[in-house]
Amino acid sequence: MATIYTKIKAVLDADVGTFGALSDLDAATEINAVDKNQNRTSMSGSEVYENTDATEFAALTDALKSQWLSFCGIPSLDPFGPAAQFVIAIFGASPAVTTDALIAARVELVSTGTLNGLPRVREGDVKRARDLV
Amino acid sequence: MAVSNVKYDAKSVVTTTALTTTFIDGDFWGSAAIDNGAAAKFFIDVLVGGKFSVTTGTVSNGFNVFVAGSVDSGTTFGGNATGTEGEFTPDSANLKFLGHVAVDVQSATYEFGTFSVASAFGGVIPDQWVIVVENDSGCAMTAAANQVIEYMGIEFEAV
Repeated sequence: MATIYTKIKAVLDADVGTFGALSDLDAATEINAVDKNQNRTSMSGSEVYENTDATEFAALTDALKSQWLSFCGIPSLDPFGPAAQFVIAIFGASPAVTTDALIAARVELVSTGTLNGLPRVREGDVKRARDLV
Repeated sequence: MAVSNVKYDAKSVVTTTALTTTFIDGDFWGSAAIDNGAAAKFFIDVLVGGKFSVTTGTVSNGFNVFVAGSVDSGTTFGGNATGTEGEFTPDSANLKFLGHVAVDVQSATYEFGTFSVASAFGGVIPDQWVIVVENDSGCAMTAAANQVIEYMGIEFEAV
């Protein structure tokens, strides 16, 4: 548990501008707020398929349709790897409905606590972290 | 051949002065040290129970009740428990889990127990031990007068 207090203190000290003026309760709420972007490391092919715009798909050539459906059959894709270039090759760069939908889907919202490997941070946890010297 | 029966001792009430409105979500509290050899009673087990009363808040999980033992006659206890009644900064990974008290609505009172202390220590009661409470309820407690922690010792009695 002492390690958790040390981690919380590191979070507080790293952003004094945000946390310095907050009460223990408000600081805990801020750390737990799910409002920070985090890049996803993987997406499933079916999730990519679900983000495909029907109109854009219908406008593809048969060859591109076949390539896209094969692509959507891959179990796990790196949304920031070669898969991203493949999407652009099929549907074009942003702005394009499918490309833009996948750009949005490859980022998820997480809390500052999650980004720092913390469980739910409570008011008392912040109080003890701030007591550390 | 001598025969022994199990005897339930009278309940003892634990002082909970610091389990009050300042005992907030995330805090840890420890009881004063309890001496298993006090009054020449050597309990084979102790049952712990009571009730917690919470005020308003964003309800989360509940209360976790732990015990910590001592092998140096109460000088030190596991998990950084102090043996003195009040809040402390724990090393909760080194406390012995006793039981969970679920909290599902705010501004309510929750009866809990009974929890077996011996079972937490593998079947024996340490010479000195303390009760530890973690507030993981999302709510602060109400006044100390509303919090109750009691224990009942079990001993053998020759008949």
